[in-house]
Amino acid sequence: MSTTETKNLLFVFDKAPHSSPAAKEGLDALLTASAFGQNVTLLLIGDGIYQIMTNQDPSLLPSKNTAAIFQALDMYGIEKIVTLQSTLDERNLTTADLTIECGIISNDEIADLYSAQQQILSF
Amino acid sequence: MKLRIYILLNNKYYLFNEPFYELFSDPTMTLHIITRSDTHSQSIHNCLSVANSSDALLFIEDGTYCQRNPTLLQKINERGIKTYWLQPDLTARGLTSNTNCNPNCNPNCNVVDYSGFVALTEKHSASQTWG
Repeated sequence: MSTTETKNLLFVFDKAPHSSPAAKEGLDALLTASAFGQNVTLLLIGDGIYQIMTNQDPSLLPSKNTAAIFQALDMYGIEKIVTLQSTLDERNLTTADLTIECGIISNDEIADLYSAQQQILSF
Repeated sequence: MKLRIYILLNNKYYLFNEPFYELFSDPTMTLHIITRSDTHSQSIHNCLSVANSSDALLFIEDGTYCQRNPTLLQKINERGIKTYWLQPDLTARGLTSNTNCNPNCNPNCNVVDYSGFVALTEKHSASQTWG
């Protein structure tokens, strides 16, 4: 692991939970990258913000409760979780509807975030 | 000897032993099943361009996120289209506390379980799933 080069990795989640395994796969990759000391940022954009909506209870569905994993990200040292104001506005959401702390960035800041990345992974 | 007359309608044979008008006086009711959110897909908008007021909309899977859009719900309501929402999918997505789709606040809005889903498909003459 000593030879591992630290990279800025951006994980982009743009899909709603429960109807596809995208978030589960994305979280596996995100946690792995973080465990290998990579500099990770998670961007929840579009319907991806629904991943961290409060009061999710998929016990009646066959899918896993990925919302619970998002709450553990902080414990695994993944602190850079961001979304766009427009993503929240389009869905009539406020930060009070979200289970975890999520930074809100402007369209200007998103350009800076993207330009700082070596790799972008989309789920 | 009893003579049986059958009518061919929409590729189905109907026995002509019931009042003839019943076959034609009821407008064809279609159940539109919405499976994608309004913010990720055009399907709800495409559906509304073909649905008429006797049709019903059933929101399942990510379609239940349409509940977050009050403008859209109002548009559906104004056209008198009934809406049904699948309870397990609402619950999974944390949408149950939302008053936009509370039957007490919106009489055109109904929450159904899986057997209610089946009953709706039986009640309507045809159903279309919008993916």
